[in-house]
Amino acid sequence: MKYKAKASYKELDDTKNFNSFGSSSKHLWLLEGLEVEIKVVPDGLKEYLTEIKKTNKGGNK
Amino acid sequence: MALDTAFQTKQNTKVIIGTEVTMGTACLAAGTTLEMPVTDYSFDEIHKHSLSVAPPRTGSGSLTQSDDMVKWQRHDRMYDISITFHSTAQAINRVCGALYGDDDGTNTLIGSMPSVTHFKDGVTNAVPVTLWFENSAHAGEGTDLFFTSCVCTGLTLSGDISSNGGVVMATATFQTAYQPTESALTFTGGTHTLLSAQQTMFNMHDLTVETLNEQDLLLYSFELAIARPVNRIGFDNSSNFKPMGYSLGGYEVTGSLTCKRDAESLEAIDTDMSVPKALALSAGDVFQIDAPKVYIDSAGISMDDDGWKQTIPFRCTYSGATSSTIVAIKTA
Repeated sequence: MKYKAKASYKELDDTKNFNSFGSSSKHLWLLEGLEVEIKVVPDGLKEYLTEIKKTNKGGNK
Repeated sequence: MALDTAFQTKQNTKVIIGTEVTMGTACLAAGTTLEMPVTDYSFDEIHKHSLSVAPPRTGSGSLTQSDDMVKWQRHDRMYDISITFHSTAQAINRVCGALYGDDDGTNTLIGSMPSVTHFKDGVTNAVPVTLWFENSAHAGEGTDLFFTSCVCTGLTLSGDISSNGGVVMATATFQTAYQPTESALTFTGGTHTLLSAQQTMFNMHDLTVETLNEQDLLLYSFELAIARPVNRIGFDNSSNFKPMGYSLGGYEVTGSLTCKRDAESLEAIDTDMSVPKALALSAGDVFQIDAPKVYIDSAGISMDDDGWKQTIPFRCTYSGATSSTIVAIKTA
């Protein structure tokens, strides 16, 4: 699954953001506004991330 | 005085990396630790210092040194610790975490790292580690020695298909400005990964992808080194000259390949192109080194009896956005 950071993620300190989960690269990518592949989202971070939904090619709604 | 019968031996010592919470405070008894698959190690003596000497005065009768002119200098001491270990996934992950903050198995060093740059005594920081050497205090058996708030200054991975059974060996170097402590090791809780949980080592014989500039190399050996300097800030002479903080320098990622010299290797080192080259070593999902933007240094020829080999030194960079990858050492 791919995720982007909500604005609230950027307010987290290093004891709560991805730095505290051993992934400084994900943290920095999220701060840059990039979509990041995350296999397992840590429980404490779900509310600060937005899942990027896949859209069908046919444009189904 | 009777002779002291205590002694220490390298074979009787486990080496443990402990995760810290606050800089200047060792890993807690209920903390998270990893027993490293260490094959060798070294560290500085506990009473480390240098001698600082004033110049002698001029004139007859004064070309000597008094005890007012010499000092034990401790305010600038940095303890050096080095550990060499088998490259298991857990060990590689942990050291990458200490070196650049990524230990989730993707272990990716990107252009904008490090993410954590403020290293101050007494402030929450999970990057520095405690290095614990069992039975290494001067009393020997039953008394341990640990170094608090060590900053990783380097990681070198070395693989040679004809040495060490092909096992990729790793050497991590650390520095701390805190005086080491002699104390027994007692963990009362927490999470502890033991050596018995680290059975799989990365091996040169398992590599299935060995490419540079998309050319297939017949690889004999490789080395990859990530290094950065660290300096202490200030000192507290009322507390064993502990530091007020650390200042971290920039990362350098370099390495070398030794492969059979052939058309593929020559194409790999062809620098008549405007963009850096990609390096990929892979043993499937369990071990991969990816460096997408590599600059070749001066390549050479090793004219060995078992065939000529190409030696290819290189330097890894990122390209474009600082979010780009310099090197990833994937273990999962």
